[in-house]
Amino acid sequence: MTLNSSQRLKQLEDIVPETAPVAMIRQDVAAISKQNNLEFHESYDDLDFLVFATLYLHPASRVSLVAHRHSPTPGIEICVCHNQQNIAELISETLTKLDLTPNDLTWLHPNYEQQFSELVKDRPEQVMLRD
Amino acid sequence: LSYGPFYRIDTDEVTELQIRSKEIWGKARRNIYQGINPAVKAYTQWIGGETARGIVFTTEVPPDPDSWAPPGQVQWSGERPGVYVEDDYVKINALEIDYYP
Repeated sequence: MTLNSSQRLKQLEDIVPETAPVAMIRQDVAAISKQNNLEFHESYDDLDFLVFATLYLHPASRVSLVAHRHSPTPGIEICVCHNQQNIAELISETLTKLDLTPNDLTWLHPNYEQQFSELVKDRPEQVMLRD
Repeated sequence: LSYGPFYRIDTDEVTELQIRSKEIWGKARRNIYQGINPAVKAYTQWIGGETARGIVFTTEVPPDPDSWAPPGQVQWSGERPGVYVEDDYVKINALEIDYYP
């Protein structure tokens, strides 16, 4: 990252409060953007350049979808506010809104695994996460 | 014990400040004591090639467990020994730090 290239951008934390990653999906930005008519914006954080989109959920809640440019592991992070409640429900709602299943998760923060598993236990898909 | 090397892609200005201070920073919001803690973040590998610029560092502060961060990343969240908050930033001290690549 060079100063010139970041001067035009605002840091993610200065744009949206939803910056804490709690899960990751395997899809790429182009596919998610096209299938859901979502516009991704350029930004950066302390780690890297990134693109992000805001996904509005019900009722009156939202998450950020964040893809870092140089991540060793491709995918899109689902990010929430640092003081967010009911995070497992938000992750489940995000998958539903994006027409994805728990199988599309490549990472889930361990603090929310149990609650998320209980939420989706009636779904036919198995929750398969990384080792 | 030394942990690393870890990598971040930063602005030239931030890189300079971190190398001079030997501190790695993560921006925090004001309400950091509620819910999820903000964290210092880094990559476990460099895939920025020759065009991206940033830092490589090691630290004596153990990262959070691997599963707490997305794949390919590590983080230090706190507050705990070695992880501290100053102004709007969460910080850890680097043992060795340099420009990368």
